[in-house]
Amino acid sequence: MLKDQDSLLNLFIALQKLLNASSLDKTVTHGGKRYDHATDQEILPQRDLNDKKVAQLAQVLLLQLDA
Amino acid sequence: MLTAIRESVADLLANIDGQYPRPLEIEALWGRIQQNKIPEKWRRVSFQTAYDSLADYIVELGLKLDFWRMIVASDGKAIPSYWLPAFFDPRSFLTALMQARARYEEIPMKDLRNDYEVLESASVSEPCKEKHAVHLHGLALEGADWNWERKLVVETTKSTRFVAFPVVKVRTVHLGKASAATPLESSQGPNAKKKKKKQPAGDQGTGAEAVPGVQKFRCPVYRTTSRLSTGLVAADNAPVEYLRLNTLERPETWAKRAVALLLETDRADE
Repeated sequence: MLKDQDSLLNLFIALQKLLNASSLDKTVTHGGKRYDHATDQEILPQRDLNDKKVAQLAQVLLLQLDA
Repeated sequence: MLTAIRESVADLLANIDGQYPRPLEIEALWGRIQQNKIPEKWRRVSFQTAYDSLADYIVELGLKLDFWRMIVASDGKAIPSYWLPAFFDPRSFLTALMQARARYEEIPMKDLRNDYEVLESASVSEPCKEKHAVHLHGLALEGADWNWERKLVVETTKSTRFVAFPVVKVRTVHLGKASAATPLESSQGPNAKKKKKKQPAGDQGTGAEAVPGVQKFRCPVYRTTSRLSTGLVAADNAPVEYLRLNTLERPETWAKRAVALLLETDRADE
């Protein structure tokens, strides 16, 4: 199971990594600096990118759970 | 359980897309996942587990799902052995074995009990050929070692907390017939004296061969390393079953050391 790229564990590990720099990162949620205070930094486009990856992974995870 | 996980993933997807109206709730849930902790929402509907780490939990869930996929694929045919930890309520599975025989023979369940026999091997390749009997695996012994050749609980010399336990054959028998067939009833020790007066269901011999001076240790089977610290109401807060294991030591020795069989061990100790 662990060797399988699409195993539940591997998908959750990948999600854990991505969540740290996604819109669900708690540090940006509660600091009031979600958008306005970071427009000059690369963190926002990176977060958008990670959000897309999280969404893709979530789709795969849903497929795995439905299988 | 899977529905709860599915809902969480679907919520995550909706939240990422900006559709979800309660982002803080989702953030809290996925915050737990970021910290490698099991979300409370999942734990409320989950199988009983002592794991705290999400990774351990997901591995366990995956193994359970694999087992159930195999059961579904077997299409109702007998399988070599049932992985007891896979059951949401292992005690119900053991009761269901008695129920099956009670229905088959149209007799009351109170006239039946499960007899357990420890086999020699860690796995079996063939289903149990006996009628009303199945193989079980997935048990681990904590606090002592198991002598595979002599089928005895012995002093451990290993540094590991848990040791693997062989396959167990569980056989549903009539109460009257079983008392005559119960192997190895020891007359030594206070434990044995008590058992002679009254034998509760599920408290039968598990050894097959006669070893001189052997006594029986009534070994509890727990689901997790939490044992009875599960937070359940008293009626449900009991071991899954008791297996009477052969030993040359006094049974009290093992009881005082809290030797037990477990269906879930700490993954680091495996």
